[in-house]
Amino acid sequence: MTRKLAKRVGARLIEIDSADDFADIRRIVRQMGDDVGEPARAAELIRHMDAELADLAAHPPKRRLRVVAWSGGASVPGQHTLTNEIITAAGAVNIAAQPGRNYSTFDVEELLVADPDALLYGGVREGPPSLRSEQGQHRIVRELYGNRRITYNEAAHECGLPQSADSAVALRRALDALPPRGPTL
Amino acid sequence: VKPAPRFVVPLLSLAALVLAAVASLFLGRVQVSPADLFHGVMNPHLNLAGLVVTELRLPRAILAILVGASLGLSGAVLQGLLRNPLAEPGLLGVSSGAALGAVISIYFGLAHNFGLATPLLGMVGAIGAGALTFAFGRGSTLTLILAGAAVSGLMGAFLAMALNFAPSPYAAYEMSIWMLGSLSDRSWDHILLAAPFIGVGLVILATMGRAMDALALGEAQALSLGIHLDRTRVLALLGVGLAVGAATSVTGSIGFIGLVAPHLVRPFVGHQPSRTLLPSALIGAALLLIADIGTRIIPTSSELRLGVLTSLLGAPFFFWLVVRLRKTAP
Repeated sequence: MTRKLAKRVGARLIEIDSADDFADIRRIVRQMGDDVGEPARAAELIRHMDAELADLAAHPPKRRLRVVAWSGGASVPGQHTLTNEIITAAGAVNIAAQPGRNYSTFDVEELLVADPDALLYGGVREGPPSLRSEQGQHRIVRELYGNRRITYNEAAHECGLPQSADSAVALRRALDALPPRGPTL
Repeated sequence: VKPAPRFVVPLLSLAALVLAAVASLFLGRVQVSPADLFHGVMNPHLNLAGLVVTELRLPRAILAILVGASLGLSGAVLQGLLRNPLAEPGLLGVSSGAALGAVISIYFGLAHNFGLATPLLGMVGAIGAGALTFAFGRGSTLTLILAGAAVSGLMGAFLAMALNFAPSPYAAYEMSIWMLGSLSDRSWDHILLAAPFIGVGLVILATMGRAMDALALGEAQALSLGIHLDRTRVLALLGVGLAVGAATSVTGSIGFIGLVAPHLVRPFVGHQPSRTLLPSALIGAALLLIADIGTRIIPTSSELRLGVLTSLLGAPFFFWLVVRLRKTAP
């Protein structure tokens, strides 16, 4: 509706895809740069993003930690999601990335059996606590992963921008800072 | 069908419930052999199989029993009280009122400041919606059903308004999903929160057999037998509000169990309303357990929500009921 109205009044409209990986982000930023007459600034943003990603790749962690973005099990990002791309760039493994499962249910039972090294918790957003943040507080998850839960800005994982590389850098730092794991189940 | 002896149907219903409960402990999205689960529970040390049973599947099964019994018993009481085979908590706006109360509490973060906010607001919503229905629908069963539809619509509109003014698309999505109903990832915390209120509601509803039997003869006859009609209605409303309100506040909306359970038992117990109460509660619990097992073992990447499954299974039953009523209507 908004696009129709904008076209009707003759407003200039630029339409872009959503980004599910860093290749998408490069393509979209270039397109935006060309469309608004700022290709050099677009190239600079991409250069900065690629430099951060290259630095992460050049200094891989000693062990690739197994993680999952879990804020309640109703809809967990798997393959072909920006979250998966950020986790991979940070040097970790997304255990929810199963073939054919982009967003899927990953209940506490599956979580316990999969035994991830850490949980990425995106349930906290600005404003009052949401329904999902309530669901992400299962008592057994609190007990087993209370000190191995990394809070992240979920919006930054859903809207692909050059700054998504910053999210990967932040995630790497958070993973490096995790305390050593105790005995597992 | 000739009514079975008094104890047979409750015993058979209990057997069905026990079977469903045991099955629910052994079936889940993750396959663990019954032997491993048994050894895990017996092992005093912290272990995966033990946790799966004691912290996940057992509380889930107990919650399913409590919620299913609430819905089944509420349906039986409402059908007896209103002398209408279509009556159930959802039809009278009670379920949607409870969902509205619970969504307000959880969404605005009231539960973080006061632990009992969700069940309390769920019950306030349920009792408020039921009271509105009874207030506007007094007079005849038809007006009561119409009032129920109106109140359901009103509660639905308020829920839609909450979605409308959600501060982000994520929040709106979360609310929509939550309202589809689920027992997934529920814990002992949820049972501790809801069970006391559900228990009181069930006790109130279980004591209504005599009034329902008298009402089956007609209101004038019930009055002559010493039944206080207004007090009976208020008690029914309170019982349904407590049980369904607390149940909905921890599971979201789950439809049709309250409608189906009494109809499944009625052919075997005859048409004495009080005899439907206990079997309806037991069958309601068994039905919800079976539906919950279905949501776990039906192979879908995203969980089939419990409320969706009960509606998919219950709607054809509703059609069958309407067709049967048309055939038997004078």
